[in-house]
Amino acid sequence: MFKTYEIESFFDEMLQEIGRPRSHYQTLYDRLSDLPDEELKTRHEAAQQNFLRQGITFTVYNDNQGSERTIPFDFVPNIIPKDEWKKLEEGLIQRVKALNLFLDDIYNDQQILKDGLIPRELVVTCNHFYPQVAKIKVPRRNHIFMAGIDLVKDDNGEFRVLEDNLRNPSGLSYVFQNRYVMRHIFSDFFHDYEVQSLENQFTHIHEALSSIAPNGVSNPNIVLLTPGIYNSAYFDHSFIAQQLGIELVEGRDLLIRDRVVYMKTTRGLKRVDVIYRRIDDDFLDPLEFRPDSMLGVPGLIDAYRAGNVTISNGIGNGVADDKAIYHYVPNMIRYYLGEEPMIKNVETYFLRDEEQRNYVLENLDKLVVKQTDGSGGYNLLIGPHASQEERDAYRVQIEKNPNNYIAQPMIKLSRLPVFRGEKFSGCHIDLRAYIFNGEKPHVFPGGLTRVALKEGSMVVNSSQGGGGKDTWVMTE
Amino acid sequence: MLSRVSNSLYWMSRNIERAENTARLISVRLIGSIEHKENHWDELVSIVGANEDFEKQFDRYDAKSVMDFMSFSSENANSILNCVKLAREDARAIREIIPQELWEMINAFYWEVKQYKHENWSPETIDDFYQMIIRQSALFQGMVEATLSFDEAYLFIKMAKFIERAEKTSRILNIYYYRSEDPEHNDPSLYRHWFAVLQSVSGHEAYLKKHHPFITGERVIEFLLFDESFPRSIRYCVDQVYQVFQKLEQGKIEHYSEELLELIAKMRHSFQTMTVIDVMTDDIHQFLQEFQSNCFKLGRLINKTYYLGEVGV
Repeated sequence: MFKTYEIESFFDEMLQEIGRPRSHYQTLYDRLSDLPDEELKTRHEAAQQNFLRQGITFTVYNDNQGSERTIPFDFVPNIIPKDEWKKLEEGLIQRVKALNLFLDDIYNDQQILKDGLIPRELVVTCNHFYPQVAKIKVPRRNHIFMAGIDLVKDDNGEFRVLEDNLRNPSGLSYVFQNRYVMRHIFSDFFHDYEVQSLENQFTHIHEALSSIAPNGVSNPNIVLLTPGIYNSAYFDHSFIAQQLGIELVEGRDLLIRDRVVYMKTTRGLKRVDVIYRRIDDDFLDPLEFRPDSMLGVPGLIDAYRAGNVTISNGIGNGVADDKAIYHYVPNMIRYYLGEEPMIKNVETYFLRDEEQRNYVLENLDKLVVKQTDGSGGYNLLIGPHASQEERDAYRVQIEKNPNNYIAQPMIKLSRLPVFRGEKFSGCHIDLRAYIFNGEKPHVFPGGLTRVALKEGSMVVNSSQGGGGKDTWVMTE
Repeated sequence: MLSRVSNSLYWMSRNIERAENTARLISVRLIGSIEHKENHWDELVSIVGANEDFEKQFDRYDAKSVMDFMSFSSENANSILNCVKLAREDARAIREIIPQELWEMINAFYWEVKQYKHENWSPETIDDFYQMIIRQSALFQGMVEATLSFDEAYLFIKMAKFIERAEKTSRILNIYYYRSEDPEHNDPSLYRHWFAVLQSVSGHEAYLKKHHPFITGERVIEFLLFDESFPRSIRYCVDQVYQVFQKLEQGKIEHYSEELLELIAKMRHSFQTMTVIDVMTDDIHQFLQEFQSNCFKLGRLINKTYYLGEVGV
């Protein structure tokens, strides 16, 4: 099975060289090598069927048939040794702490701008900066109840942060479902491994949500606000609400009376204290943001302003996970915490800066260019893989609006074997780690390993044909 | 419980029950038509009250058109495919409320219906499809009983099922009673007719146990209206609806539920005090139509009492 496997010039998570697995992969490697192809194939297919039967699908947009797809699953887990994870955990907590302090600062005194560490213009012209929520007293000054930090490993095998997601990071349900399917169909793979279990995680999440209830509320009524079943992340919303034992509500289930939020029940109105919202800022309240939005609740922001309800993640968090601000996060860590960043960024070029712009435009064939407010892997330029025409077209876009773009060197993301029916081949992976902020920050053990299934592709996003893997954090 | 959630539970349950009733109705007619060249396929469309929609799409009531319309048509809001699709959408909207097993069952049910190659069906093979619908519906009922806590969610599912069932039984009786009045009927064909009516609600076996193979219109009507223990007789269904509300309101009458409980008590009362003789000497059609209009009122009052549907606060 591994006979035709190639490592090429990438960091391979499983193999140091052909035939020589890293120690924490040895047992699994032996097991995989022993299993007949046909059996792996049958079990691989059983896993995909399992997702469909459970209805763990996402809706494909731009398709009026309302097609549903499952995210393809690969059974080779991403195994992370205990010590490596511990270091990573500390680095993630450090990063989220600094980002939270930044958000609190930006919407209050803006000391960091006064001290000139970040150009003011970059913050105030950001599409996700909302002066509407300035000076609002946020319980525990906690703007980030849940962060999703995307990590990659470079060709030295060192973790780096690729992106911060501080608005509505999704995918947590898939972490559980990947584990569920893995345990059912590939239970023998766990032999001789001690893996951190995930069952107790929802206790932490629930505590984090309770801890940010408005003052004086000890047993808060917490709800999860979803745009509804047609949202591509609906499964995520429904799963999390179920596991937390909280109501899953849509905007039409809520109403505001005298600056207090209520939900409409069969027995009349019931007060709501904490809203874990999975609706974007712009759609939360038609009176404050987009007037055409049918998803939100008129008057919600006013109730928030009055301190009668917590909305989490905070409104306007997008200013901190903007791709241009990303460059400054290491500086934020030094500024707010007086510490050196434990996890490195990926080098980033600003196209607003003339010198850097010229460099980027001359080296488009070596770089990855991203829109600062883009997400979902759309409208990326992957220089080395693009055609000359594609690069030229992108160049025009950049020159028109350079502020809108950043560029990064093409990172040689690490790879893990993926089963392709008859053989294994190496595919690039990344890891979305989840951090929950309550009285104390807590890192979810593992996270969502995404894999670029298209041969040679670097894009792991599910909307771009990416898949998922189980993630094991070792306890020994 | 959120009103929207109750609304979804209610419609999920009604649509599953509706799909099953339609499947059984067609299946029985299908068998009748094989042996006896029974036509009158239009009756089935009348029972589900969709003649207008049917006539927009088809120009005659032949077997194939009616089966296609009632099973697969997207123009027919109550086709089996649509019912299962709506039930699944409602289930999906509340999958955090219902047990995972139940959701998986409904999801698999939907895929099975959707993937049925309905372009190629033939009268010889399609009965398998209807039997599958009936089986899946039974599976749904079984899972509800076996996996759901007997709380508000369960009560809404149960209430919806029995309202749908009672209404469908009354519609079946109403339309088929017209046919029995047809002077062309001879004794054997009348016997067959009433036997088919019983089969349409899966009641022939229960009936035979009670009355042996002596089937008359009057007895069938009595059985389907007044039998206290047959799960698809109207009286039984109304009793169940009454008990659901007693539980839901914990035996109390509050001002907001007063009107609703009064209506149910009134409906129940008429089945407790009337006999089949009363119904038949008066006007059976009028009796059944009044029952149906009460069902309609009941639906409206449930909406109002529990803020279901688009009713605001």
